[in-house]
Amino acid sequence: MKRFGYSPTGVEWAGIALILAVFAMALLSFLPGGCFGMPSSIPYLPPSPSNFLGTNDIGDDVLAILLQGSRVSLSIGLLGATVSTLFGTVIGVFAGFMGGTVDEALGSITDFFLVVPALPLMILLAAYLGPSFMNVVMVIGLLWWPTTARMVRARARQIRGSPFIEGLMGVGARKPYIMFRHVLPNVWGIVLARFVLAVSSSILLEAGLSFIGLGDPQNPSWGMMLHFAMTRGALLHGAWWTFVPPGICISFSSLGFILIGMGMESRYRSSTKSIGDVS
Amino acid sequence: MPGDPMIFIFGEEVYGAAIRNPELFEALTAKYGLNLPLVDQFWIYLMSLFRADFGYSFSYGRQISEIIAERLPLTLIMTVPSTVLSLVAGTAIGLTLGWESDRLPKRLVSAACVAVHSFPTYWLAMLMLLFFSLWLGWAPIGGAPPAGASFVAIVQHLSLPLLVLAIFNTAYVSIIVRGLTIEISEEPFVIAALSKGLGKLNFSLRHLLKPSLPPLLSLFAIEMGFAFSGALLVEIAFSWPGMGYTMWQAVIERDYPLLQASFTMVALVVVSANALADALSYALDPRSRS
Repeated sequence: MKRFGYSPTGVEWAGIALILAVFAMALLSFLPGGCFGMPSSIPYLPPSPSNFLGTNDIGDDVLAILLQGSRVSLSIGLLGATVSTLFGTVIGVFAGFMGGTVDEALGSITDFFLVVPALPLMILLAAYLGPSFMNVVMVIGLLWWPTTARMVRARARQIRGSPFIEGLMGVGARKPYIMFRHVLPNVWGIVLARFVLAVSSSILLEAGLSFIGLGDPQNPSWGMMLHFAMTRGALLHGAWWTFVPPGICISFSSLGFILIGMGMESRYRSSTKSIGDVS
Repeated sequence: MPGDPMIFIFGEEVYGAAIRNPELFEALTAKYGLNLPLVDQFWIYLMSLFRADFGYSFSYGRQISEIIAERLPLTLIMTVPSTVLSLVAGTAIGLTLGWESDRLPKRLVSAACVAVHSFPTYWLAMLMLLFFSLWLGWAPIGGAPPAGASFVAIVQHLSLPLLVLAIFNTAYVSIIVRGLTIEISEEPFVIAALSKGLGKLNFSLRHLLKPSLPPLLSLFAIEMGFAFSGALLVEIAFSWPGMGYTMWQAVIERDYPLLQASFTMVALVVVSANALADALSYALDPRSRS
């Protein structure tokens, strides 16, 4: 790990361990069906050697569904974070570098989305678009960029004011060139940290949307397991094995990404302090 | 838009009959204004918003403003106390954690706060229901207290949702206040105050808490937003008929007018909380006026 320029702290190791566990679950789900307990015809079977996590309301093996769900939750988490980070970075770099009216216009759009409560807006959008895998990704991606945009903008603004950009402008470098080749590489640290944090949020948001019943019914995720436990009476039945495991998975996978993202962000902050003083 | 609202107005059978009778179908479509161009429909919608007229809910068969007037208070009775509670508790915890934050016990508690904050609120709610309602039988399984219920019954119904929201939001506030405190404790005036030999309580209230009040105010506004979003999902888990439960029902019933109106109201409350916090911090903090 030293090769990457730093060694992770204890907290980050914990995060890495949690994330590896989720990826392992997603990989395990590709093993042929039935490896983890056959669907039994008996509903609400408590955990036993043949069904490690028992069965759900229609007698399916909970562990098998849990592994399937890890694939959905993880891929929506990664894709949603990619879209939202991309948006936030483009808007942030553009606003911070161009300044003036562009900055003000983009700034007020950012502020608008920052103030409007995100989850209710996502529910509204997801309900209109209809439940599908890509729609959930787009809804998360299109509404979860404002914080990223703000932080990237602040950094881009700072870089804009530094002497080397002035020098580039002086020798007549064009703005797109400066933005891509000189501003973007310098905001990379914050973008990566935001991406990791966005994966964590996306996993939680996807779970929330699925819990309401707006997830893709063809790709049941952990959130949807909670949805079914709630609506089909597993909770009232006291069948804790149907909803405790998916909840733990949601919490710990998002926690893993948060821990790493926070570590990256604080590292980034302490490393940029000196640069900020110079410019 | 998935699902023709007409199906949900008439029910599938009547819809099936109506669609075979084009004249009747068109007449009914016209009655609900669904044949107008989209721009006109939107204009009508916008204009009636200004009259606080959200229209008519297909699924409840009632005026939406009536439904919201009934249910918004049920959400507020959950969010406002839990927000206030978590702000007070979270500030106290955050101040303690932020001061000499390197000590191991404090770091462990901070880590626990981060962990709790990444729990889905509704899952926490389900665990509470399982433990306190099903296994211990201390609290009802959900729902709102019936009209005219005794005070004890109301408290019983409210306690679990409030507890879930308070735990979740306290964790969040603690994390933020801890960060603020660490930042402030590096300021020179803190060293000056310490060297005067001020008592611990006096010191933390006047020199740690006071400078962090303005950011705390804006935190309160963000908190309200979070509390609302969190409460929406917690309500569903507890079948608590507030705004979140209403939105959920609207999603299931494809009741788009109700869904839009619910969102508009929630957004309005959150945005007003933000505006209020901004005004307060402008009034209280001389630094923000420069």
